[in-house]
Amino acid sequence: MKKTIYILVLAFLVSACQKFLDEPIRGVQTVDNYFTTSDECESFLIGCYQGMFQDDWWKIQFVYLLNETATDDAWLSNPTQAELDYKNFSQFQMTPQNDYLYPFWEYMYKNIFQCNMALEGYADSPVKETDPDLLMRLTGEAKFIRAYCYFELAKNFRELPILTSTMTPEELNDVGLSSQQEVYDLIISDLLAASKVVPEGYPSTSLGRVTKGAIWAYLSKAYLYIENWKASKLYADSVINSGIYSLEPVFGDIWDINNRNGAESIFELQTSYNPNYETGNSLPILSGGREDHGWYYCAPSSHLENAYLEAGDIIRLRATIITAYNEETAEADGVGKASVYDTDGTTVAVSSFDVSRLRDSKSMRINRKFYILPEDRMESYGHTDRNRIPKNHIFMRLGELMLNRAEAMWHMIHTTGEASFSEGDIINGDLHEIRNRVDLPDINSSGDQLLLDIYLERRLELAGELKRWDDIRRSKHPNDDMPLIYHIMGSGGSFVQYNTQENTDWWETQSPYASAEPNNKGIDFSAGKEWLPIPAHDAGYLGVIH
Amino acid sequence: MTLKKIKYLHSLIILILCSHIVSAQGIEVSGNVTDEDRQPMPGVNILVQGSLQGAVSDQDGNYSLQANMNDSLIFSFIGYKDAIVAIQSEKIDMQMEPEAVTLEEFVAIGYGSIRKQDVTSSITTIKGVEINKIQTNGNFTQGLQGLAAGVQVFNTQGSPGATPTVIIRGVTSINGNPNPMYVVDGIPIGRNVNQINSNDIESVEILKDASATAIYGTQAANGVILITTKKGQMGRQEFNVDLNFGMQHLVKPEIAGAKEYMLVQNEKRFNAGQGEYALFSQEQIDHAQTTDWWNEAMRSVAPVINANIGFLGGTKKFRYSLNAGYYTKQSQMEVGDWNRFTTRLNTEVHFNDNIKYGLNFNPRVETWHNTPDIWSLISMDPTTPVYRPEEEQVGLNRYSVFQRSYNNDTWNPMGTIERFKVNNSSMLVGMDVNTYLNIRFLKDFIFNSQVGLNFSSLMEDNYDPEFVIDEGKESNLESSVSREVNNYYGFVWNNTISYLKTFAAVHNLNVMAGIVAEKGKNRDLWGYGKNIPSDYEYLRYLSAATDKFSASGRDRIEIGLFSYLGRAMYNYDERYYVNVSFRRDGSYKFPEENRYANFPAVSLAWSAHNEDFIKSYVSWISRLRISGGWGQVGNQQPLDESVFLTTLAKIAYVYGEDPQTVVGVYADQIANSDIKWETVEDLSLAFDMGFLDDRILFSGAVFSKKTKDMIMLKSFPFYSGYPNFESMVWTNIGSIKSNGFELTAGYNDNEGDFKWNININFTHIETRAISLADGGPYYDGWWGDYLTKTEEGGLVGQFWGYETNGLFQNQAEINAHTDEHGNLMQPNAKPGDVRFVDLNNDGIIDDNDKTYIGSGQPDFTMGLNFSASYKGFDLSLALYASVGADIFNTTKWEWGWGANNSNTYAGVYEEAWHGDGTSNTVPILDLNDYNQNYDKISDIYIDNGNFLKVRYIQFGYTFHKSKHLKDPRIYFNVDNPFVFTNYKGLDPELYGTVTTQSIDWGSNYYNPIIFSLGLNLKF
Repeated sequence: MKKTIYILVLAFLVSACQKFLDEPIRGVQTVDNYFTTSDECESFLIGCYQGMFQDDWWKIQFVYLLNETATDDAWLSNPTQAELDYKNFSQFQMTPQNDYLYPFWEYMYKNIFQCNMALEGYADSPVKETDPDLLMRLTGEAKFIRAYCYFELAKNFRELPILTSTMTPEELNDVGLSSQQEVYDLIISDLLAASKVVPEGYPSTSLGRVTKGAIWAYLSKAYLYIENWKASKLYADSVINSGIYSLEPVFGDIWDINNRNGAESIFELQTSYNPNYETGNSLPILSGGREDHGWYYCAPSSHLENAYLEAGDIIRLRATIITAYNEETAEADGVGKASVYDTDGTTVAVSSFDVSRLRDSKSMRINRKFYILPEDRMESYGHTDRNRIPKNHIFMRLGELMLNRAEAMWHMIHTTGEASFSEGDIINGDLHEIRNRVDLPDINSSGDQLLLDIYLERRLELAGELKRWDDIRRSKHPNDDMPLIYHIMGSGGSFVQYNTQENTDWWETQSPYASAEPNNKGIDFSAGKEWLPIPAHDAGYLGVIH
Repeated sequence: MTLKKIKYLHSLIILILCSHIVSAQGIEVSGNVTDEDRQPMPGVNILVQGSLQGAVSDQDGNYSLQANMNDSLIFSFIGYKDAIVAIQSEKIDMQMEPEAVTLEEFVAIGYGSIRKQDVTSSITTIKGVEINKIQTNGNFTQGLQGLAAGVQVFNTQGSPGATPTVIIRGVTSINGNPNPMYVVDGIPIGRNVNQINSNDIESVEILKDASATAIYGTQAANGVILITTKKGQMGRQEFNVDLNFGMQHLVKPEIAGAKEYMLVQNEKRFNAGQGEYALFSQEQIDHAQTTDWWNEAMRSVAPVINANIGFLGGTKKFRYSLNAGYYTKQSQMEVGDWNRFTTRLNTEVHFNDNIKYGLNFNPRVETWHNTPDIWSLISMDPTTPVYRPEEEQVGLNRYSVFQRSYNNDTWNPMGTIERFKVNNSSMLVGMDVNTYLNIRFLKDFIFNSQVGLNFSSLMEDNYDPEFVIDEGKESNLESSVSREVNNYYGFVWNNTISYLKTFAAVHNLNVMAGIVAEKGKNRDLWGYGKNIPSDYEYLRYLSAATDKFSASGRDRIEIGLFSYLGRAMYNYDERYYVNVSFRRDGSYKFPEENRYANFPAVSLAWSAHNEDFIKSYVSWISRLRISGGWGQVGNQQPLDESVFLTTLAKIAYVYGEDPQTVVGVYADQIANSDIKWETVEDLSLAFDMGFLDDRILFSGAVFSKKTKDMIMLKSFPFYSGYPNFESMVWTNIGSIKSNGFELTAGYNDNEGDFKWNININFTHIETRAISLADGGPYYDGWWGDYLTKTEEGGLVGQFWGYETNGLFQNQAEINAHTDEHGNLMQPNAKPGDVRFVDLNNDGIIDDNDKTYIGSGQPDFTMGLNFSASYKGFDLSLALYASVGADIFNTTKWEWGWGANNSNTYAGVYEEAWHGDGTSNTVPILDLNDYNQNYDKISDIYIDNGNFLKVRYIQFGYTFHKSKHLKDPRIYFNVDNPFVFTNYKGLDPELYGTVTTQSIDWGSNYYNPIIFSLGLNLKF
């Protein structure tokens, strides 16, 4: 009897303690039993969208900026605060240990994981039964975002590991590097799958989600990268002919903070000012003047400015570069006033933008496309809210797509001979529309020169939009079929030649800060450096020897 | 057999033998017996030497007996020295003197207490009187520094409310808090003891090895400190008043004045070939006006006050102890303080001989305001005045009247102080209730059930006023206010049954078994709002905010444990000892299959001094013991509650023509569903020797603690996409090992008028990594690059960087520094630049030349404690030394070289290289630093961290002849009067984390010198 009581008491104690230790986690969602409702499925996708550009400046956004400083469009600028790891980007001294390289890689893959988790969650979700249309659409959106991330990675890294599901540590052991071809196959198959289920548009409350047009535009761009000119043109045609998008009549309006999701925009980062969430864009602060709340990285170069001046392209110059160059005296005197032009390119919006506010820069120029006029700034601009600036960032716009098509068409004429059209159709078509908008006459060239002119048009049209780094590595020079970067950088490169021999820009050559960033930037470029190295952290797992 | 028993037998035998002999005729001698506090002593045995007469003092200490003139009387009482007095008069009063070392001392061990001599594990006892000698410490562990071998205390901060780091016999985990577990009267209270008033403490037991700590299982990996508070005793009444008033003073570092600052900054530009951009003209230099930011910000002294009142007493049925204490410490800046008010009431009711019930009640209030750090006092541009010109101040609020630094981005320290005055205040209200019921049954069994409740509520208020010192860089355009409330509720329930029995007079057995449940829950609430209508003092509350409200809050389980424990202690004739203990712990932090873990321990001891051959033949050996122990303890500390769950977190994106923030989720953490305990395996061997009645003591131990399944963040490849920060997942993967030895030597002389004692202890600990996540290395200490590297087999947290070999004195030396083909290895170098060593001889200075350039772990630490008294005077002194640690001094970047246009230490202008032969250690001042003298992590940052500190000197006087008071004492004390070191930074006593030990980040509010006067009164 006594024994039984002891046993009962013991049994009670053991079960009591089991319960005692079962403590649910409070106030935090877990993945168990998630994806059971439409709302949950929708909510998970928000993480995917957000992951494309991320909330904090250093995760992804800054890397685009740093990469751009390795082009002829921009200097790293801010010589007094730039870390060695920033300089490594702009001066082609990249190491696999670079601390600003790995977040880009890491966060892109984090978002791929998020997309994979979404796709796995959707596949098993009961919502399949209750709201199959929604689930199909969400699946398409997740696939697009996954393709977007792989595309951004594929442009920068020669080979990549491909993960199309969430993996356990053991499963990771079987992952190796895949070739560019395999990565692009995945990108294109994801985009194609997405294009079938994603709608052409959304109710105004859902504006900003990926549309069929956006997916076609990315298909066009992806095909351009793998030089499938015909397919590239085909999907560009689909977008352009859809009639949904049209060129912004005033060039300066494209990047105006108030022109959200404008007529020309195909896909852009959606932002808002929200005190509770970092749903903004940090690029205006990262690229802004030192004494104007900015960090002043990635300042436009005089080389770019000259390209506009040579082309007589004043409208796009004023919409792209704020310069301390005094246009009237054609001299830089160091105490003059910089002029900021309003978006129509004619009226001076800020008559006395104090040059002293541009201190601490190699070039004393500011990217106008990211600059926000004082009257458009939120109250807390530049203080604690650097990641909350409500300025949308355009990922894809019609102007770029038209230039993609122009390039594809040129190749269909000259490379593959599949064309049923002539050079005149390019000049009088897409190029005409692009140039006409900024009051420039039509191009009058042909053959290889026409291709170079298309490249130049691309530079002038897209400068400051963080596309130059991609373009000079993708676009091949007709003379030798080598990427443009081989002609721009390296000891004989056009940019290096310009800066070491021809450049007379007072700021870049004589100002107190001129010497802090070397004038021979780019001299260390050599073959292969157009690719970023796989970060050291992951190289070992992938058997990469740096 | 114990001394006590011998004494009893001794008196008994004499009484029996003498009882039949007729007493001799003589006089009647009477008198009064008192104790050391002049309290009447009942029950003292008084015998006429060599005769039959005996008496026992009564309740008032009075006695009388028959004796002859010139006989001698022997007074004896347990715990007191026998006193022998020749009878010279009829009245003989006797004040008994306590025995210096009473062998009957009891020592707290986990879930019980045993006689000190029966301890087989490594336990150091420190008495409350020792701890309370220094009344200026707000946290009693500060006073443990140098007191106990094997225990390292790092007093790295001297600011109000600072907490030292206490490390017992080395660290066991790379992660988590290295501090031990603290247990007050059987109830665990966490890892910070700021809440404890040291004047409540009767004694402290430091449990150093696993054979002592394993009974605490998973919380014991860093050792355990048991705190026993003061209890009332039967028949003794006391009323104590202790007052201490101190003045603190921080020794000012030598900081450059405006002139030197200007010269340094100009020099940096001249040497960079940018002379035309020199910041200052010769005229400005000639008329330099220095703003001494240190003097502006620092008062010459700041007070620290400690006041205590205590009562203790008791009757047969009821015992009590009540103590109320107030402690306050201010920072030397105008803002920054910490105040603590505590009371403690300990009561115990004895129903009868078998049932006791106790209630300990400890309410407390702490309030504090944070202290600004001192970094900016040194870095700030000294040419800048404190305030803007008067005409510019018009219309500005009181936070905006300060001048923005002319030449660097350091924020005006006086502006910071002005804001600190309003922008933070914290209050913690707490209460510990500890009740227990203790029942003796079946003669040898004791059942004890104890419930400890702990409540605390912490409230932190923050207010950021609107101000503009510089619109772009030093401003806050929107005022904001926030409040955080943190309520903690925890309980512990200990149930134990003990069995104590001696068989056949030689087999001593003590067995205990128990069940323990523990849970602690934090509930927090945080609210925030912006734009308070005005700076009016009574509007700084959330309800006045007009904009941008946000709030959050949740419940968090801090601890959830359910445990079974058991212990058996056996000794044969107090010579051979075997102790075994066991604990089975379950924690909510682990998935069900890994929830429980077992922690066994064994220890053995041989008390040779109880062997006949020593007792009889080498009687000058009073103590000789050898003991050894093995045990396992656990750790779960680094983990938070959800490691085995895959969690989601909030994230927002924006949709809509009219942009709307939509909130969704992203995967925040993937689970490790195999996570389990860290286990520390501990082995130690100790000896303990005493000579000449323990006047000379000598003890030592060697120990080794090895952690396996150490919980570490394992970094998976980034392409895994694991959402955890840097794809790191908590995993049981590493192993580290702390080896060491400790020695203590003591001498005490308590005879005669001049009494003195000295204790010297010595600790050597070395912590090495055995295995690390991904095979290591493990980098830590980010400062543009990682400063420390830990590799498998190597010391934990060594500094990693370039080796240097002096400075290039001239171009010829630069030209000679070439690879085998004659190419310059440092083509950017100029005379005065650092010569980096091409360690691998590949002709290039790059990452592959990095090596270990120092270690932050001291080779040994040492404590010396001395005290002496002569009649009423007493003197005590304590020293602490640390030898062999290197310091990575990051402050050289700014204060040695003027980076970021920062001000420097005085003398930098002269010390820096400025021509052939002027310096071989301090590189040229050069803004560009193309050679990366200061950009590269190298041994030019490494300084010698040896130091010897005089912790305190105390001089006191006790008035023995006072009518109303018992022995009032006054004393004068100086804390930290002297530091002997070659270290040029602020304070060589540093501790960051396990892997960033001894890095000087330059912001420490170091330890001040404190002069204090104290008074102890007893009634």
